[in-house]
Amino acid sequence: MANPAPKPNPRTVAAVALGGVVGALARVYLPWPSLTFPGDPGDPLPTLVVNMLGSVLLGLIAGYATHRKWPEPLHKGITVGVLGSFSTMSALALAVSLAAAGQTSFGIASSVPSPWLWLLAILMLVGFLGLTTLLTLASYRVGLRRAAR
Amino acid sequence: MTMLVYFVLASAAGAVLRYLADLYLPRRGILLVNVIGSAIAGVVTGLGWEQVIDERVALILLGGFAGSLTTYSTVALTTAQQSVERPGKAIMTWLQHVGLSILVCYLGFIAVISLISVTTP
Repeated sequence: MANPAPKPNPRTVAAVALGGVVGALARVYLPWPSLTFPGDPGDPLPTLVVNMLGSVLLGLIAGYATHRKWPEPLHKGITVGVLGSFSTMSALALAVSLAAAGQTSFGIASSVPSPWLWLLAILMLVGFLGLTTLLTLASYRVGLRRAAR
Repeated sequence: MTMLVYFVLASAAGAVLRYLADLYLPRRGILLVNVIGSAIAGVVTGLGWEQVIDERVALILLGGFAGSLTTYSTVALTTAQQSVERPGKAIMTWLQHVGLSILVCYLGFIAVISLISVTTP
């Protein structure tokens, strides 16, 4: 089967652009500014909060939308646009990179000796990723159940 | 005001590029934008760190463009769906996205810092 090149719907593209702006402004201007410069790009906490919140909300909405006929621009505007831009991978990568480059301590008290600091940082990161998956799955199922009612 | 206009344009462009990447490359698009955006974040932060670029320019490129181009929630949802039947696949997805993003970001940052320290007297 020849797979025709997908054509983006102009309304969806516009909705994703608008949603992307809303998500980015929320990420930068909410009480937990992430990726601000010269703020403290090495502090992972704001990014972790934003990412967890964005993931749980996405799970909820994706689950709910599964059984609803939402117009594509609305659906993609919220999921890809708002929540996609709100959450971010680059800020997380940056926080870890700055710690790895010896510039920051990944938000961990500098009194912790260095090998332990590394172990703590890795455990924090792995634990956070696992927790994200669990909570996103839970919220996805809540969304599915809500929509089935 | 001008600053806000550029921030809006940068974040809109980031989100649209990510949407198109996912549309045209359904399996690898998100990984691609995450890696590219993280590399940009490393380079821009290096340039800002060394005061080569203005911090407002850095905020637009970092918080606006790279922040919107990359995403975490989409990856989280993918791993949530994979975790039900194939937990190993979910772990691989996290490793790819987070591992590669950290790697390129780190290399970008280090490369800029080293280049600048070599070229400045």
